[in-house]
Amino acid sequence: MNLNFIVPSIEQGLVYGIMALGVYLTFKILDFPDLTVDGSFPLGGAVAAKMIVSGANPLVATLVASIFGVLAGVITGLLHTKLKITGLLSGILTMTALYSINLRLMGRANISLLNEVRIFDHFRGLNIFGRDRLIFFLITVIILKVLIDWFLRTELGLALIATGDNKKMIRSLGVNTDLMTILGLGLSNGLVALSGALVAQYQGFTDVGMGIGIIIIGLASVIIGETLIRSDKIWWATLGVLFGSVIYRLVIMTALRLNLNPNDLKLMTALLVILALGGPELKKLNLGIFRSKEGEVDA
Amino acid sequence: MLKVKGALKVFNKGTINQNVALRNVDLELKSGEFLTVVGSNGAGKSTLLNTVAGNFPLDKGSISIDGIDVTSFPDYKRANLISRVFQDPLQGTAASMTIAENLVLALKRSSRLSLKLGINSKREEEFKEALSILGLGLEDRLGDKVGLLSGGQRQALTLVMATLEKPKVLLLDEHTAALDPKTAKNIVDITKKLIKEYNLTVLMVTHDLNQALDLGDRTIMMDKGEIVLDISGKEREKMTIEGLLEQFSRARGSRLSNDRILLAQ
Ligand SMILES: Nc1ncnc2c1ncn2[C@@H]1O[C@H](COP(=O)(O)OP(=O)(O)O)[C@@H](O)[C@H]1O
Ligand SMILES: [Mg+2]
Repeated sequence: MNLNFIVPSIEQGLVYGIMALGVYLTFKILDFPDLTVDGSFPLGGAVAAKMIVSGANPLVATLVASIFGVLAGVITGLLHTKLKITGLLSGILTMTALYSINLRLMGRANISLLNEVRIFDHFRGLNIFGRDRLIFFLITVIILKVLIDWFLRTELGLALIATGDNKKMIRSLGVNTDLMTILGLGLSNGLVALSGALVAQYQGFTDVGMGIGIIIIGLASVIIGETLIRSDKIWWATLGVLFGSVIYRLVIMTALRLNLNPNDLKLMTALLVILALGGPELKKLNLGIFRSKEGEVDA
Repeated sequence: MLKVKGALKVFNKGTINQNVALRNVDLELKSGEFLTVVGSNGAGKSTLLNTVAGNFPLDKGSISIDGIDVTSFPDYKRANLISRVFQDPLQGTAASMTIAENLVLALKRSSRLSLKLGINSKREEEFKEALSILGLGLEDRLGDKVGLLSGGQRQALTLVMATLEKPKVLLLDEHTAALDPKTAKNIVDITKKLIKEYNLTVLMVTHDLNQALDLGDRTIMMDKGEIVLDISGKEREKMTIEGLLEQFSRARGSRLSNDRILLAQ
């Protein structure tokens, strides 16, 4: 088998891994099922692409795209904490609104970046073994991972974790949980939009529909990561998320090479997530093959 | 230290389920005073503590702590003045976080959170010292997740968390009720020790009349959202459980059936 799909898979795994780290922050740390992601991912692509074709420096464009993502998360957070709309619906509302906003920003359904100067072009110096993009993504992702790990060990980060664990307790310790929720959603969607901006530049175009189902891909990565690396240490968990993202891409690429219809990808991903999330219930059905020691641990 | 004036709290106002949980309650606590609160189920004891803690706004009345009018403050804005221990041992700590991480958050109860690492060696020493007072060996388990601890251990940890930064007022709401008798006794001992050590101002709800008279230096009894008895000093020293029950029925002008007050054995 021709193995030259491996490097692109790793590159994709890394760049989408940034989005998965964002999903990890909301779903796992904050315990908030945030669907803003499907809108903030293409938002990142849209802002970056529009700015790049308008002549902006791609670094600046990527940074601004991330900030827009933060704002999208903040809006979801405000809908939830100030207007008391459920978390799920708040995310869906922002995501839906973003579809129109993204179209407005782009002026049309897609923008090509193939002939533009992209962020990688500023990092040609990383051209080790002719793999400048791989190296660029690797460095970016490592920096982000270390920053997230560090943040979650600071006082503020610990308060964010506690907000996802026990709101009553952390409020009684003087923390404004509304602010924490908004902060977490902002950070998460900032990462997601950053990922969207980088994906757009990596694939050479952005499309208003490129966010559809992205949340499930993020979740799949988080779940694969959890299965691979079983640890309650955040340092390991974030590493797991990135591994999960890379493995997801490798599996997908392999499946495509085995002539899986690309249109079935989202179905496959959804099934994977259903299996992983529904696993514990499936095990309860007492199917011998599904039983493991795991099921007996906690009551 | 604590002043509650004309506190009125009505739940489900304007509906069939309208329920007056606090009727113009006045209560004043001096600095260092240790007040125990008794009363039948639904008397409004928890509501009193919750309004002091700011879990919900009052319909009428005011609350001030250490001279600061906190009536309009949400719960998290009063946390620098108040600390509390809940009845449910699971509510006072974050299970997925370590003992040390929980203590960091308790340490920051009255100050701003920073972007510095929460745990450092100086704090670890401080935490170990604070935990050693419990005599449960938790000082050697700083890195363990709180979810691994038993209910009693978690409640003991919550007590340490509540007193790590000395609060102006400590609120205890039947904080031993969910524990087995032996553990409960242990927690009561720890509570006494901490209150004495830090000379705390305390409001403690208990369903145990013995405990109510035994601990602290003043006892109030609540019924239907009112304070129907308030005793301290000599009067309290002479008070017995029977006397308490009698006082209660007199104050209410009605007979008290035994199940009105849960007597713990
Ligand atoms: N959050 C709430 N919503 C509606 N009713 C409540 C709420 N909290 C307490 N109550 C009602 O207020 C009354 C006093 O309750 P509570 O203060 O919990 O009593 P106690 O702690 O003395 O047993 C009860 O009738 C209770 O049903
Ligand atoms: Mg109660």
